Amino acid sequence: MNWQLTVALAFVALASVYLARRAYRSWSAATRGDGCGGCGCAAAPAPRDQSQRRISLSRYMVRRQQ
Amino acid sequence: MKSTHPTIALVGNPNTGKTTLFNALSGLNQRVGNYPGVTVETKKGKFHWQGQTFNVIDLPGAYSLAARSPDEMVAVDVILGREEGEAKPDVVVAIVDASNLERNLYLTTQLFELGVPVVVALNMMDVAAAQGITIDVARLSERLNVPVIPVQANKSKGIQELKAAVAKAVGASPPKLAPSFPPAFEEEVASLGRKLAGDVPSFLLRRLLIDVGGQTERLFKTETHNHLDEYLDSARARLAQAGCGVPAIEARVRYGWIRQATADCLHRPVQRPPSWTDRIDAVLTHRVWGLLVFLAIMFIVFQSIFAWAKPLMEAIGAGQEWLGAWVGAGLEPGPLRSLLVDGVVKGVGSVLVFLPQILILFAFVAVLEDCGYMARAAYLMDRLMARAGLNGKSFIPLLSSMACAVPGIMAARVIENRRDRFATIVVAPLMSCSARLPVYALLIGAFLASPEEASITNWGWWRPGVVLFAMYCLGLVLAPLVAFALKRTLLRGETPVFVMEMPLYKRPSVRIVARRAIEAGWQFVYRAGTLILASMIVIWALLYFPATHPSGDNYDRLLAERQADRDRWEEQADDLAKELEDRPDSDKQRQLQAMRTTIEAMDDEIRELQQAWKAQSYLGRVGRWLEPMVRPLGWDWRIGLAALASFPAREVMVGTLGLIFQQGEGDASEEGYQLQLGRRLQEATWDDEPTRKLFNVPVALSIMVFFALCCQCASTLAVIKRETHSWRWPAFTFVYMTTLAYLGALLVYQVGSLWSGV
Amino acid sequence: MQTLDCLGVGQRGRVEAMAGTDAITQRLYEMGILEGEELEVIGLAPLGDPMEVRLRDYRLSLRRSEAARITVRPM
Repeated sequence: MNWQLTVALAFVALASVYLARRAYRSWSAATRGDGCGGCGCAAAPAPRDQSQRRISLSRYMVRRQQ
Repeated sequence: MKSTHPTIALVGNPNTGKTTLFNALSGLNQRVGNYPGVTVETKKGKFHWQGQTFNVIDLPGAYSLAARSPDEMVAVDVILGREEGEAKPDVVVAIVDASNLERNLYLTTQLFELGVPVVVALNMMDVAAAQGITIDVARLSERLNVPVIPVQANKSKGIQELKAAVAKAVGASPPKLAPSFPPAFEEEVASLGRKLAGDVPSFLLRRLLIDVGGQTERLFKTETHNHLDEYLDSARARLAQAGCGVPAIEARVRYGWIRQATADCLHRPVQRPPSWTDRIDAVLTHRVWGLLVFLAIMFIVFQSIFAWAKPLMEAIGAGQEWLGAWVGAGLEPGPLRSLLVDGVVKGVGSVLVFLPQILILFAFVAVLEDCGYMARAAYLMDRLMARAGLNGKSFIPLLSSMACAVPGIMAARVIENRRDRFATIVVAPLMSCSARLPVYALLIGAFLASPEEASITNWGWWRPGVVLFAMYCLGLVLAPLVAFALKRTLLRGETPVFVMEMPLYKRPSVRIVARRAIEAGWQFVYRAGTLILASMIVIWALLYFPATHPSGDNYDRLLAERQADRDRWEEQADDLAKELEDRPDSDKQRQLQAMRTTIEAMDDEIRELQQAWKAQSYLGRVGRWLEPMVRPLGWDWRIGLAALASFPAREVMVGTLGLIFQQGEGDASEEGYQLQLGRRLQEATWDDEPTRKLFNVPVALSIMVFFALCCQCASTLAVIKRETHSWRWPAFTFVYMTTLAYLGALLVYQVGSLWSGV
Repeated sequence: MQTLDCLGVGQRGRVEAMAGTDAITQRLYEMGILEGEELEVIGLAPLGDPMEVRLRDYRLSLRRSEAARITVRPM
């Protein structure tokens, strides 16, 4: 009985940690997010602010001249 | 950051077989990529040719490089090499639909001006031939002054030739011919270039002049501050004076050039032969038949979800049952056994049995998307969406949301206007997604499918399909209504325009459909094995603890004892019955009857004990506290808590019902747990009135309506937050949908009870 | 002289002019609706709007309000 309780509680703890981590991650706009049922969007990354990855116009001009 | 491998960018109009060509080029060597701030995924892959590796980027389909939204700007940025960490492409492959050459070449002529070698892949020659269109490829290549390679992407024809041409084009000089603009226009471009110090590519200068209010204008405005607005206004006015006003001048120049270039190599029949698309469209977009066919298609989808899934579901149910019996036999009664049998096998299993239905639904959505019907649906629905202040294009994210709201919400990125996009995003979760399917299927199967079941009316075999269809229609009707309200309050704005190409119909590719269904099935299993499993374990714990009976003993052990007692009695009764068969004896017959009565009393006792246990568990206490709130919906505390538990993910509803109504029943039946769960629900009674059935048709409908309208999906809320960059929209979505769900369920139950006299 | 939205199903017309300089007009130009181009109305959606038009070698659907920008000479 007691070993069963210990193992069961360990499972519950694991499950809770998983759910908490998952909730935190999807809320903080991480890369993973899968939807209802079975859509294939689990790997779809989040949109980010455009300026983060676009090179600025002035830097682009410099790059072009090289 | 320059990669040593040459990079190839695929560019083309939508519906030209670009993705098929990409797949044919890169095989399975691909990964999904995405650019920031932007649309629909951009795929990347690799191919090898004569020992050399080439990187391939598949850019979103576009009609023109005149970018009006950040999404449309991606293609321009990638080709010009403005993408951080991404090499400027060495070759651009322009995919051109041979059956619609002129319009496809418009984008190609824009590509000529980017300073990158261009190879034209002439796709769909077979479609063109069927329409009587002939193209002299060699002469076209000469006229355009770039390599033109005929391909048939769907049959992987011409791929080797295309690879060879691409490899040869690496390092070659960019196209020398291009439509030339009138001198007045070129002068304005030159003086604009002088004004904007630095070496701005002339392509961007042209875009800046031509695209009134476009992305290029926005880009330069954020980076330069030298009164650009006034300058552009005066420049455009000067152009209009000189007879080459924007934006008309670009189309005139390009189409004029294209007509000249194709004059002696493109031959069209004088009389267009009627195509299959014409014949099909005569029905599918007909004013009356179109809508009827739309409804009929939907009904067939939903009916087949029920009809075809059953044998597969039974097989899965049998496997699940076997697993439950095996785990149950190997363990002493205790918390771990309860967790594994009740929480995992029954809870997660009762969700997993719906895998066949998910596969069927996704296969149907894939067929509709692949054959070109989505554009027709958008066309049919545009008027309705326009009344709601949106356009037909918003209908496509809504239809996609029938599979899952998350990709549906992401599909809304193609809607240019921010307000229209937000309105579409906020109403998309109203569409019934596949996660609701298990809930619908369980309740419809149990309460609305069998004609002999006492219900409102007996409709026969087609009732499941009709009810399921009605559930999906609920979202379909409410989504535009909510959008209508939003567009008049929070997201006030003009109704967007609707200009959309109607692509040719094509036979859906078996490979694409199968792939889509299998991917979806795998996602469903993955989700069941992670999110649903973890949720079920936590819910199991909240329903299991505290497990102490008022007597100080443990519920679990008490129940096991009672069950063992009962089983002993049953055994004795069976022995006695066998004895009686051989030697009838009235005394013993009476004894047997008494034993049966005792067993029944013991069954009741066991059930009561289970109910008492659940009622005093942590979740049970919450449920009972909640009961006054859900009573008007026709629910008791058990249904209420199952609905509450499914707020993170809808499928948990089915698992939780399995946990509550099936606990402790390890005994096998010929039916499998799933069908058994349906029967358990049919048999369930109210706690306080053991003679009154808990579920009936109005209750089942009220639960279904609640699930149809409620936002019970953490992933959806997270993706709304991601897409809108604000927590307000997910919060708003959650509040309005929950309110709507409660009111809807209330209405259905109250009206339904009155009507059916239950 | 008529605008495109006044044409009935099956009627054809040649584009005479297009009004406006905004993004919508630009999109229509890009889709190949130019002066001298031939258009054929091939259908109307259930509620009479939008309309489906054939031009060049393809089909385009657009609303009557946008079609009203396009002046055509019926053929």
